[in-house]
Amino acid sequence: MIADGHCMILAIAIPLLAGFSTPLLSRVGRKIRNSWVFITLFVSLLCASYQFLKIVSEGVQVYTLGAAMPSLTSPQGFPVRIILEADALNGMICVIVLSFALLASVYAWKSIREREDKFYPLFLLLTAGIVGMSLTGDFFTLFVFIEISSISSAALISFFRRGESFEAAIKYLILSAVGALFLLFGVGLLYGQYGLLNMAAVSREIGASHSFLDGAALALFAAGLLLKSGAAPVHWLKLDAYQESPVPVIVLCLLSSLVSLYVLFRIAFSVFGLSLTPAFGWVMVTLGVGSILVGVLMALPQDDLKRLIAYAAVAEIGYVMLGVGAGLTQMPVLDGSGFAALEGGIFHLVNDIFNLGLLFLIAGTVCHCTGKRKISHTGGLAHHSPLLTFLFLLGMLAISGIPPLNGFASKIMIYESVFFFSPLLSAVGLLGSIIILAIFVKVFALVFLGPPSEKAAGVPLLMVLPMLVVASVIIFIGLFPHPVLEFLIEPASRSLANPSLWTGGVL
Amino acid sequence: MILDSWSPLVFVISLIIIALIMWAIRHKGQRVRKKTPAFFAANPVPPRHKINYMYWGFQTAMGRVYRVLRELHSGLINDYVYWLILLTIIIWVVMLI
Repeated sequence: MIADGHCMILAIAIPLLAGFSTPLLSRVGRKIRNSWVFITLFVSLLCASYQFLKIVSEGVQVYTLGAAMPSLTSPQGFPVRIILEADALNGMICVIVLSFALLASVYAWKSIREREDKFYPLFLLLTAGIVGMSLTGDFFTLFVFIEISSISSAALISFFRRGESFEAAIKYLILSAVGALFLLFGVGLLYGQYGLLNMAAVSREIGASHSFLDGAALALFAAGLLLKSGAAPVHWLKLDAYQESPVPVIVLCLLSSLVSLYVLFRIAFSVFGLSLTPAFGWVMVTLGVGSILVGVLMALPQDDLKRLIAYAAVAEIGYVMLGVGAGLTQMPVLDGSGFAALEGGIFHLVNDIFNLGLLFLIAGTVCHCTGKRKISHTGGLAHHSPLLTFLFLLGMLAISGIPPLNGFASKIMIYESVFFFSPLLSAVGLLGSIIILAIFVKVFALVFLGPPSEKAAGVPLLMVLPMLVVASVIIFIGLFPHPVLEFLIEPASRSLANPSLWTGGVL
Repeated sequence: MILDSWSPLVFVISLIIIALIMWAIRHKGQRVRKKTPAFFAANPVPPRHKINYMYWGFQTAMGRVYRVLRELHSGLINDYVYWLILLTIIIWVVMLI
C-alpha cells in the first residue's frame, strides 16, 4: 500500500490540509462540511493507530521527509530536515489525541451553532499542531508546531466574542508567544553549540555531561513547556482560556497542555537524560507539589464551573510532575521505586486526559442545559438528566482517585513510589485528592441535587455520545489496570527511561 | 506494590455483596414508615441553605494563604511574565549546582 510507510506524516498532513479546505466545503453545506471534518479526523486516527501497531511489532518508527533514512539527509551522515520519530509513548499519545479530537468534533456538531465556517478550520489546524508536537523529532519543527497550536488556540478562545473571551485570547496569545520565544532561545543555544537541530543527534553530542549553555537551554525549554502545560507557578495561561472557550476547544487545549508535558519529559529524558543530576528531578517534584496545592486551594472557592475544573487540571498536572519528577531524580539509571514513579506519572497523564476531558464535556453540557455558568445559579439537574448525573459522579470519583476507577490505579502508584523519596510527598498527594473530592462533592450538590429547576433543556444525543465513550474508557481502565499497564504504560515508560532506544532510531 | 495485588473486580464484587447485605437488612425493617419533617441537629431546616459556602470554615482558617494566592492571581500579563522569568532563573541556578 502506498500510504503504508507514510502514516506518520499523514496523521499530521491530513488535518492540516483538511483545515485549509474546510472553508470551501462550508459554502457547499453544513452537513457535508461536518462529515468532511469527521472523516478526516477518522482517517488520521486510522493512520495513527496503524503507526502504533507498527511500533508495537517493530519498535521505534522514524520518518524522514525527503529521504529514505536520516543518515542519507546529508553528505556527512548527520541528520537534517524534518524527522518524525514515534515510540511506544508518543505513538500512544498520538492515538489518544486524535481519538479525543474526533469526539470533540462530534460534540461540536451540537454545541457550536454559529460561525462554524470559522470554527472548524481552526479546530483542524489546532489538532494538526498538537499531533505534530507529539511526533516531531527535531527542535525547530517542535517550535513550529507549538506556534501553530498556540495561534489557532488563541483564535478559538475568542470564539464567543465576549469581552472576557477577547481578554483571555490576548493573554493566551502573548504568554504563548513569550513561552515559545523562550523555547526558541533554547533551540538557538543548542544550535549555536552543536550545529544540529535533531533531538537524537543533540543528545549524542551532549552525552554524559552537559555544558553551562546546555543547562541554560534546558531551563528555557522547561520554563516554556511548563507554561504551555499549565503547571504552577506558570499556570496562568490556561485559567482564563478554559473559562471562556467553547468546550471542544477546551478539550483540545487540555490535550495540548498534556502533550507539552510529554515534550518536556522527552527532552529531559531522551535528550539530556544521561547528563542530568537529581537536582532537575527535584525541581519537577517541587513544582508538582506546588501545582497540586495551588490547584486544589484555588479550585475550592470557585463559582464558575469551567474555571473550577481548570484549577483541578492544574492540580492533576502536579501529580504527573510529581511521579515523573521522582523518576527523573534517578536518571540515568532508573529502577525500583524510580521507575514505578515514572510509570505512575505516565499512567496518570493518560488518565487525566480522560477524566478531565469528561468533566469539561459535562461542564459544557450543564451550561447548554441550564444556560448558566455559575454553579451557585444551578440546581436540581439530576431530576432532568440522571445520565448526566451518573457521568459526573463517575468523573468526580475518577479524578479524586476513588477505587475502582482509573484515577485510583495511577494515584496509588504515585503515592506508593514517591513515599520512598519522601513520605511528605505522599501525604501532600493524598491531601490533594481529598480536597479535590471535597470540591467536586460541593459541585455535585449544587448542580445536581436540590429541587428541580424549571428551565433545564434536554441533553442532545450528539453531546452524550462522546461522554459515554470517554466514560467507558474510564471504567475499562479502572477495572482492568494491569493489562493497560503491561501493554501500554510499561513500554511507554521504558522508552522514556532508556534514551538509547530513542536516539538509536535516528542514529 | 499495592497495585500488584489490587483487583478491581474483587473490589466491585465486594461492593455488590455489601450492597446486597445492606438491602437485606433494610428489607427487614418497617414496611410503612411515617414521613417526618427533616431536621438539622434537632432544629427545623432553614428554607434554603447556601451550599456554595460549604467550606467557609476551611477558607476562613486558611485566610492568609488565600489572601496571598488571590494577590498572586492578579490577572496582569506583566506579573505572569515575571513569574516565567523567575522560574527560568531558578531552574538554571539549580542546574548549575
